[in-house]
Amino acid sequence: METTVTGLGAYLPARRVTNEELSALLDTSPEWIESRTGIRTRHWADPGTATGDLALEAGGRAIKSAGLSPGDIDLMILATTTPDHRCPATAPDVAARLGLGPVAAYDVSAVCSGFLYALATAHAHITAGHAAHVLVVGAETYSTILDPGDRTTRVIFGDGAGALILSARDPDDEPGPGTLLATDLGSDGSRPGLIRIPGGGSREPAGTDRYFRMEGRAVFKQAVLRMGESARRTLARTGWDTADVDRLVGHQANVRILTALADHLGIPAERAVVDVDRVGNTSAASIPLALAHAAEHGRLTPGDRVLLTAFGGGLTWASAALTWPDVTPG
Amino acid sequence: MTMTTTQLEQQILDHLREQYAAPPESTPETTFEALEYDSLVVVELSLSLGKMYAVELEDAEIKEAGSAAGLAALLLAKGVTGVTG
Repeated sequence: METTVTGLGAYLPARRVTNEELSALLDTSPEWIESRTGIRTRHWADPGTATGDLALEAGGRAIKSAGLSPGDIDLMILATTTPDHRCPATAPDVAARLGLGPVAAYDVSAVCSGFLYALATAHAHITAGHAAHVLVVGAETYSTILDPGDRTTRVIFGDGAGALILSARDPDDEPGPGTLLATDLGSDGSRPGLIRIPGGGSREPAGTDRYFRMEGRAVFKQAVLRMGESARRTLARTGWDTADVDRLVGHQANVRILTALADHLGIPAERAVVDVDRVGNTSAASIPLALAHAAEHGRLTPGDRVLLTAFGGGLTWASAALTWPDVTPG
Repeated sequence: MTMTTTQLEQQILDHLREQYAAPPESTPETTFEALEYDSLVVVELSLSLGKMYAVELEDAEIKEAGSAAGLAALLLAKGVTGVTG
Protein backbone atom coordinates (compact mmCIF):
# COMPACT_ATOMS: atom_id res chain seq x y z
CA MET A 1 0.00 0.00 0.00
CA GLU A 2 1.05 3.59 -0.67
CA THR A 3 0.21 6.48 1.62
CA THR A 4 -1.42 9.58 0.19
CA VAL A 5 -2.47 12.85 1.76
CA THR A 6 -6.18 13.32 1.10
CA GLY A 7 -7.32 15.98 3.57
CA LEU A 8 -6.06 19.05 5.43
CA GLY A 9 -7.50 21.19 8.22
CA ALA A 10 -6.27 23.95 10.50
CA TYR A 11 -7.61 25.96 13.42
CA LEU A 12 -6.35 28.94 15.41
CA PRO A 13 -7.99 30.28 18.55
CA ALA A 14 -9.45 33.74 18.01
CA ARG A 15 -7.28 35.77 20.38
CA ARG A 16 -4.38 37.33 18.50
CA VAL A 17 -1.49 38.61 20.65
CA THR A 18 0.84 41.25 19.21
CA ASN A 19 4.49 42.02 20.01
CA GLU A 20 3.33 45.40 21.32
CA GLU A 21 1.06 43.75 23.87
CA LEU A 22 3.85 41.46 25.11
CA SER A 23 6.41 44.28 25.23
CA ALA A 24 4.18 46.15 27.66
CA LEU A 25 4.46 43.23 30.10
CA LEU A 26 8.06 42.04 29.54
CA ASP A 27 11.49 43.66 29.28
CA THR A 28 11.55 43.58 25.49
CA SER A 29 10.42 45.51 22.42
CA PRO A 30 8.52 44.70 19.24
CA GLU A 31 11.72 45.39 17.27
CA TRP A 32 13.75 42.93 19.39
CA ILE A 33 11.12 40.20 19.07
CA GLU A 34 10.74 40.61 15.34
CA SER A 35 14.45 40.93 14.53
CA ARG A 36 15.36 37.96 16.71
CA THR A 37 12.55 35.62 15.70
CA GLY A 38 10.59 37.02 12.79
CA ILE A 39 7.40 36.67 14.87
CA ARG A 40 4.79 39.46 14.73
CA THR A 41 1.71 37.77 16.19
CA ARG A 42 0.68 34.56 17.84
CA HIS A 43 -2.72 33.17 18.93
CA TRP A 44 -3.54 32.11 22.47
CA ALA A 45 -6.55 30.09 23.53
CA ASP A 46 -8.94 31.60 26.06
CA PRO A 47 -8.90 30.08 29.55
CA GLY A 48 -11.14 27.02 29.50
CA THR A 49 -10.14 26.07 25.95
CA ALA A 50 -7.86 23.05 25.94
CA THR A 51 -5.69 21.36 23.31
CA GLY A 52 -8.41 18.79 22.61
CA ASP A 53 -10.82 21.58 21.64
CA LEU A 54 -8.38 22.89 19.03
CA ALA A 55 -7.67 19.34 17.78
CA LEU A 56 -11.41 18.74 17.43
CA GLU A 57 -11.81 21.72 15.11
CA ALA A 58 -8.76 20.96 12.96
CA GLY A 59 -9.58 17.25 12.79
CA GLY A 60 -13.17 17.90 11.73
CA ARG A 61 -11.99 20.24 8.99
CA ALA A 62 -9.47 17.71 7.70
CA ILE A 63 -12.13 14.98 7.52
CA LYS A 64 -14.42 17.32 5.52
CA SER A 65 -11.50 18.34 3.29
CA ALA A 66 -10.95 14.67 2.42
CA GLY A 67 -14.63 14.23 1.53
CA LEU A 68 -14.91 11.55 4.21
CA SER A 69 -17.27 10.93 7.12
CA PRO A 70 -16.01 10.41 10.66
CA GLY A 71 -16.87 6.71 10.40
CA ASP A 72 -14.34 6.28 7.58
CA ILE A 73 -11.40 7.04 9.88
CA ASP A 74 -9.67 3.90 11.19
CA LEU A 75 -7.06 5.44 13.45
CA MET A 76 -6.29 8.77 15.10
CA ILE A 77 -2.84 9.93 16.20
CA LEU A 78 -2.44 13.24 18.05
CA ALA A 79 0.93 14.90 18.55
CA THR A 80 1.14 17.30 21.47
CA THR A 81 3.27 18.51 24.40
CA THR A 82 0.22 20.11 26.03
CA PRO A 83 -2.32 17.31 26.46
CA ASP A 84 -5.62 18.08 28.20
CA HIS A 85 -4.44 15.93 31.14
CA ARG A 86 -1.35 13.88 32.02
CA CYS A 87 -3.71 10.93 31.84
CA PRO A 88 -5.54 9.81 29.78
CA ALA A 89 -4.20 10.78 26.35
CA THR A 90 -6.12 13.49 24.54
CA ALA A 91 -6.70 11.52 21.31
CA PRO A 92 -9.49 9.18 22.58
CA ASP A 93 -11.55 12.11 23.83
CA VAL A 94 -11.18 13.96 20.53
CA ALA A 95 -11.94 10.77 18.58
CA ALA A 96 -15.14 10.32 20.58
CA ARG A 97 -16.21 13.92 20.07
CA LEU A 98 -15.51 13.64 16.34
CA GLY A 99 -17.70 10.54 16.17
CA LEU A 100 -14.91 8.28 14.92
CA GLY A 101 -16.17 5.27 16.86
CA PRO A 102 -14.00 2.86 18.88
CA VAL A 103 -10.88 3.25 16.71
CA ALA A 104 -7.32 3.17 18.01
CA ALA A 105 -6.46 6.65 19.23
CA TYR A 106 -3.26 7.71 20.96
CA ASP A 107 -0.97 10.66 21.60
CA VAL A 108 2.59 10.97 20.36
CA SER A 109 5.05 12.97 22.45
CA ALA A 110 8.03 14.34 20.50
CA VAL A 111 7.69 18.07 21.19
CA CYS A 112 8.25 20.07 18.00
CA SER A 113 9.04 16.91 15.98
CA GLY A 114 5.71 15.43 17.12
CA PHE A 115 3.68 15.97 13.97
CA LEU A 116 6.24 14.32 11.70
CA TYR A 117 6.73 11.50 14.22
CA ALA A 118 2.92 11.00 14.10
CA LEU A 119 2.94 11.21 10.30
CA ALA A 120 5.66 8.56 10.00
CA THR A 121 3.77 6.34 12.45
CA ALA A 122 0.53 6.71 10.47
CA HIS A 123 2.44 5.89 7.27
CA ALA A 124 3.73 2.70 8.89
CA HIS A 125 0.20 1.65 9.91
CA ILE A 126 -1.06 2.22 6.36
CA THR A 127 1.74 0.36 4.61
CA ALA A 128 1.24 -2.52 7.08
CA GLY A 129 -2.40 -2.71 6.03
CA HIS A 130 -3.83 -1.70 9.44
CA ALA A 131 -5.77 1.33 8.29
CA ALA A 132 -7.29 2.83 5.16
CA HIS A 133 -7.70 6.37 6.53
CA VAL A 134 -5.74 7.91 9.40
CA LEU A 135 -6.35 11.27 11.08
CA VAL A 136 -3.02 12.83 12.10
CA VAL A 137 -3.30 15.92 14.28
CA GLY A 138 -0.76 18.33 15.76
CA ALA A 139 -2.37 20.48 18.47
CA GLU A 140 -0.99 22.71 21.22
CA THR A 141 -1.91 25.21 23.92
CA TYR A 142 1.61 26.32 24.86
CA SER A 143 0.04 29.44 26.38
CA THR A 144 -0.79 27.17 29.34
CA ILE A 145 2.88 26.27 30.04
CA LEU A 146 4.71 29.55 29.45
CA ASP A 147 6.29 31.45 32.34
CA PRO A 148 4.77 34.97 32.15
CA GLY A 149 8.12 36.41 33.26
CA ASP A 150 10.37 34.52 30.82
CA ARG A 151 10.75 36.61 27.69
CA THR A 152 12.81 33.91 25.96
CA THR A 153 9.76 31.65 25.68
CA ARG A 154 6.78 33.92 26.31
CA VAL A 155 7.21 35.81 23.04
CA ILE A 156 7.85 32.74 20.92
CA PHE A 157 5.18 30.13 21.47
CA GLY A 158 1.59 30.16 20.28
CA ASP A 159 -1.50 27.93 20.23
CA GLY A 160 -3.19 26.19 17.33
CA ALA A 161 -3.97 22.89 15.64
CA GLY A 162 -3.52 21.36 12.21
CA ALA A 163 -4.44 17.98 10.78
CA LEU A 164 -3.90 15.79 7.74
CA ILE A 165 -5.83 12.75 6.57
CA LEU A 166 -3.56 10.00 5.27
CA SER A 167 -5.23 7.38 3.09
CA ALA A 168 -4.07 4.06 1.69
CA ARG A 169 -3.81 3.75 -2.06
CA ASP A 170 -3.19 0.62 -4.08
CA PRO A 171 0.00 1.19 -6.12
CA ASP A 172 -1.76 -0.37 -9.12
CA ASP A 173 -4.37 2.39 -9.09
CA GLU A 174 -4.09 5.45 -11.30
CA PRO A 175 -1.11 7.42 -9.95
CA GLY A 176 -1.62 10.99 -8.84
CA PRO A 177 -0.03 13.63 -6.65
CA GLY A 178 -0.15 13.43 -2.86
CA THR A 179 2.03 10.40 -2.19
CA LEU A 180 4.13 10.31 0.96
CA LEU A 181 7.43 9.04 -0.40
CA ALA A 182 9.86 8.82 2.51
CA THR A 183 10.30 9.66 6.17
CA ASP A 184 13.21 9.87 8.60
CA LEU A 185 13.11 10.00 12.40
CA GLY A 186 15.87 10.32 14.98
CA SER A 187 16.74 11.30 18.51
CA ASP A 188 19.59 12.28 20.80
CA GLY A 189 18.64 11.81 24.41
CA SER A 190 22.02 12.88 25.75
CA ARG A 191 20.99 16.56 26.01
CA PRO A 192 17.66 16.67 27.83
CA GLY A 193 18.37 20.00 29.45
CA LEU A 194 18.00 22.01 26.26
CA ILE A 195 14.18 21.76 26.01
CA ARG A 196 12.10 20.62 28.97
CA ILE A 197 9.38 21.12 31.57
CA PRO A 198 11.39 20.23 34.71
CA GLY A 199 8.74 19.39 37.32
CA GLY A 200 5.61 17.29 37.56
CA GLY A 201 6.87 14.08 36.00
CA SER A 202 8.15 10.94 37.71
CA ARG A 203 11.71 12.37 37.81
CA GLU A 204 10.55 15.34 39.97
CA PRO A 205 6.97 14.57 41.08
CA ALA A 206 6.88 17.51 43.49
CA GLY A 207 8.97 19.76 41.26
CA THR A 208 7.54 23.25 41.25
CA ASP A 209 8.83 24.41 37.87
CA ARG A 210 5.98 23.38 35.58
CA TYR A 211 6.91 25.86 32.85
CA PHE A 212 8.46 25.18 29.45
CA ARG A 213 12.18 25.98 29.41
CA MET A 214 14.52 26.20 26.44
CA GLU A 215 18.20 27.06 25.80
CA GLY A 216 17.59 29.08 22.63
CA ARG A 217 21.08 29.48 21.16
CA ALA A 218 22.14 25.85 21.63
CA VAL A 219 18.80 24.72 20.19
CA PHE A 220 19.23 26.99 17.14
CA LYS A 221 22.44 25.30 16.03
CA GLN A 222 21.29 21.77 16.80
CA ALA A 223 18.04 22.43 14.93
CA VAL A 224 19.75 23.51 11.70
CA LEU A 225 22.31 20.71 11.76
CA ARG A 226 19.90 17.89 12.69
CA MET A 227 17.10 19.03 10.34
CA GLY A 228 19.72 19.35 7.61
CA GLU A 229 21.02 15.80 8.14
CA SER A 230 17.52 14.32 8.42
CA ALA A 231 16.32 16.17 5.32
CA ARG A 232 19.31 14.88 3.33
CA ARG A 233 18.56 11.29 4.38
CA THR A 234 14.95 11.71 3.29
CA LEU A 235 16.02 13.22 -0.03
CA ALA A 236 18.37 10.27 -0.60
CA ARG A 237 15.42 7.92 -0.05
CA THR A 238 13.28 9.75 -2.60
CA GLY A 239 16.08 10.18 -5.13
CA TRP A 240 15.51 13.95 -5.16
CA ASP A 241 18.30 16.45 -5.28
CA THR A 242 17.96 19.62 -3.16
CA ALA A 243 17.42 21.47 -6.47
CA ASP A 244 14.31 19.31 -7.05
CA VAL A 245 12.57 20.53 -3.90
CA ASP A 246 9.76 22.96 -4.77
CA ARG A 247 8.80 23.78 -1.19
CA LEU A 248 10.73 23.43 2.05
CA VAL A 249 8.36 23.41 5.02
CA GLY A 250 10.47 23.49 8.16
CA HIS A 251 9.17 23.49 11.70
CA GLN A 252 8.24 27.12 12.30
CA ALA A 253 10.36 27.95 15.34
CA ASN A 254 12.13 31.12 14.23
CA VAL A 255 12.51 32.68 10.79
CA ARG A 256 16.28 32.84 11.22
CA ILE A 257 16.42 29.08 11.73
CA LEU A 258 14.39 28.61 8.53
CA THR A 259 16.77 30.89 6.60
CA ALA A 260 19.85 29.16 8.01
CA LEU A 261 18.31 25.76 7.21
CA ALA A 262 17.54 26.70 3.59
CA ASP A 263 21.09 28.01 3.22
CA HIS A 264 22.52 24.88 4.85
CA LEU A 265 20.60 22.65 2.42
CA GLY A 266 21.33 24.83 -0.61
CA ILE A 267 17.61 25.45 -1.21
CA PRO A 268 16.71 28.99 -2.38
CA ALA A 269 15.16 30.92 0.51
CA GLU A 270 12.09 31.85 -1.55
CA ARG A 271 11.13 28.16 -1.66
CA ALA A 272 10.88 28.02 2.14
CA VAL A 273 7.39 28.40 3.57
CA VAL A 274 7.30 30.95 6.38
CA ASP A 275 4.32 31.05 8.75
CA VAL A 276 6.06 31.80 12.06
CA ASP A 277 5.53 35.53 11.61
CA ARG A 278 1.75 34.98 11.85
CA VAL A 279 1.37 32.23 14.44
CA GLY A 280 4.69 31.99 16.34
CA ASN A 281 6.12 28.61 17.29
CA THR A 282 3.13 26.26 17.66
CA SER A 283 5.29 23.16 18.27
CA ALA A 284 3.51 20.05 16.95
CA ALA A 285 0.89 22.17 15.17
CA SER A 286 3.45 24.21 13.27
CA ILE A 287 3.87 22.09 10.15
CA PRO A 288 0.20 21.37 9.41
CA LEU A 289 -0.66 25.04 10.12
CA ALA A 290 2.08 26.13 7.68
CA LEU A 291 0.85 23.66 5.05
CA ALA A 292 -2.76 24.85 5.34
CA HIS A 293 -1.76 28.51 5.14
CA ALA A 294 0.53 27.90 2.16
CA ALA A 295 -2.19 25.90 0.36
CA GLU A 296 -4.77 28.64 0.97
CA HIS A 297 -2.45 31.31 -0.42
CA GLY A 298 -1.29 29.57 -3.57
CA ARG A 299 2.14 28.63 -2.23
CA LEU A 300 1.49 24.92 -2.75
CA THR A 301 0.17 23.48 -5.99
CA PRO A 302 -0.66 19.84 -6.78
CA GLY A 303 2.45 17.98 -7.82
CA ASP A 304 4.87 20.22 -5.93
CA ARG A 305 7.77 18.29 -4.41
CA VAL A 306 7.54 19.13 -0.73
CA LEU A 307 10.19 18.50 1.94
CA LEU A 308 9.06 18.68 5.57
CA THR A 309 11.54 18.76 8.43
CA ALA A 310 11.34 19.37 12.17
CA PHE A 311 13.49 19.42 15.31
CA GLY A 312 12.36 19.40 18.89
CA GLY A 313 12.84 18.45 22.49
CA GLY A 314 14.15 15.02 23.32
CA LEU A 315 16.15 15.94 21.37
CA THR A 316 14.24 14.67 18.36
CA TRP A 317 14.21 15.32 14.64
CA ALA A 318 12.18 14.14 11.69
CA SER A 319 11.61 14.79 8.03
CA ALA A 320 9.31 13.62 5.24
CA ALA A 321 8.97 14.04 1.50
CA LEU A 322 5.75 14.05 -0.48
CA THR A 323 4.23 15.39 -3.64
CA TRP A 324 1.51 17.89 -2.83
CA PRO A 325 -2.00 16.56 -3.39
CA ASP A 326 -4.96 18.18 -5.06
CA VAL A 327 -6.65 19.09 -1.79
CA THR A 328 -8.50 22.13 -0.41
CA PRO A 329 -8.16 22.85 3.32
CA GLY A 330 -11.41 22.11 5.15
CA MET B 1 45.28 27.84 -4.69
CA THR B 2 45.75 29.14 -1.17
CA MET B 3 44.23 32.52 -0.43
CA THR B 4 46.15 35.37 1.13
CA THR B 5 44.95 36.76 4.44
CA THR B 6 43.73 39.91 2.69
CA GLN B 7 41.74 37.90 0.16
CA LEU B 8 40.13 35.80 2.88
CA GLU B 9 39.28 38.89 4.95
CA GLN B 10 37.62 40.44 1.88
CA GLN B 11 35.71 37.24 1.11
CA ILE B 12 34.37 37.10 4.67
CA LEU B 13 33.54 40.80 4.62
CA ASP B 14 31.57 40.26 1.38
CA HIS B 15 29.69 37.44 3.13
CA LEU B 16 28.85 39.76 6.06
CA ARG B 17 27.66 42.42 3.61
CA GLU B 18 25.52 39.98 1.58
CA GLN B 19 24.03 37.91 4.38
CA TYR B 20 24.41 39.89 7.59
CA ALA B 21 23.58 43.47 6.61
CA ALA B 22 27.10 44.88 7.08
CA PRO B 23 27.02 48.33 5.48
CA PRO B 24 29.16 49.15 2.38
CA GLU B 25 31.59 51.25 4.42
CA SER B 26 32.54 48.35 6.77
CA THR B 27 36.12 47.15 6.77
CA PRO B 28 37.62 43.84 7.88
CA GLU B 29 38.34 45.51 11.23
CA THR B 30 34.76 46.68 11.86
CA THR B 31 33.68 44.91 15.05
CA PHE B 32 30.54 42.82 15.50
CA GLU B 33 29.53 45.33 18.18
CA ALA B 34 29.77 48.20 15.70
CA LEU B 35 27.69 46.09 13.30
CA GLU B 36 25.15 45.58 16.13
CA TYR B 37 25.20 41.82 15.75
CA ASP B 38 23.05 40.02 18.30
CA SER B 39 24.04 36.68 19.87
CA LEU B 40 22.19 34.69 17.20
CA VAL B 41 24.51 36.05 14.48
CA VAL B 42 27.37 34.16 16.16
CA VAL B 43 25.41 30.93 15.76
CA GLU B 44 24.38 31.76 12.21
CA LEU B 45 28.00 32.51 11.27
CA SER B 46 29.21 29.25 12.79
CA LEU B 47 26.78 27.49 10.46
CA SER B 48 27.31 29.51 7.26
CA LEU B 49 31.09 29.85 7.54
CA GLY B 50 31.33 26.25 8.69
CA LYS B 51 29.61 25.18 5.49
CA MET B 52 31.47 27.58 3.19
CA TYR B 53 34.89 26.55 4.45
CA ALA B 54 34.15 22.94 5.55
CA VAL B 55 35.37 23.59 9.07
CA GLU B 56 33.98 23.22 12.62
CA LEU B 57 33.51 26.55 14.35
CA GLU B 58 32.49 27.04 17.98
CA ASP B 59 30.29 29.98 18.96
CA ALA B 60 32.88 31.14 21.51
CA GLU B 61 35.62 31.23 18.87
CA ILE B 62 33.49 33.33 16.53
CA LYS B 63 32.53 35.73 19.28
CA GLU B 64 36.19 36.17 20.19
CA ALA B 65 37.20 36.69 16.58
CA GLY B 66 34.96 39.75 16.72
CA SER B 67 35.38 40.99 13.12
CA ALA B 68 35.93 39.78 9.54
CA ALA B 69 39.70 40.09 10.10
CA GLY B 70 39.45 38.03 13.28
CA LEU B 71 37.40 35.40 11.45
CA ALA B 72 39.98 35.20 8.67
CA ALA B 73 42.75 34.63 11.22
CA LEU B 74 40.60 31.97 12.92
CA LEU B 75 39.94 30.15 9.66
CA LEU B 76 43.60 30.27 8.58
CA ALA B 77 44.63 28.87 11.97
CA LYS B 78 42.24 25.97 11.28
CA GLY B 79 43.96 25.25 7.97
CA VAL B 80 41.35 26.77 5.67
CA THR B 81 42.66 27.59 2.20
CA GLY B 82 39.49 28.74 0.45
CA VAL B 83 35.76 28.24 -0.06
CA THR B 84 34.60 24.66 -0.53
CA GLY B 85 30.83 24.73 -0.01
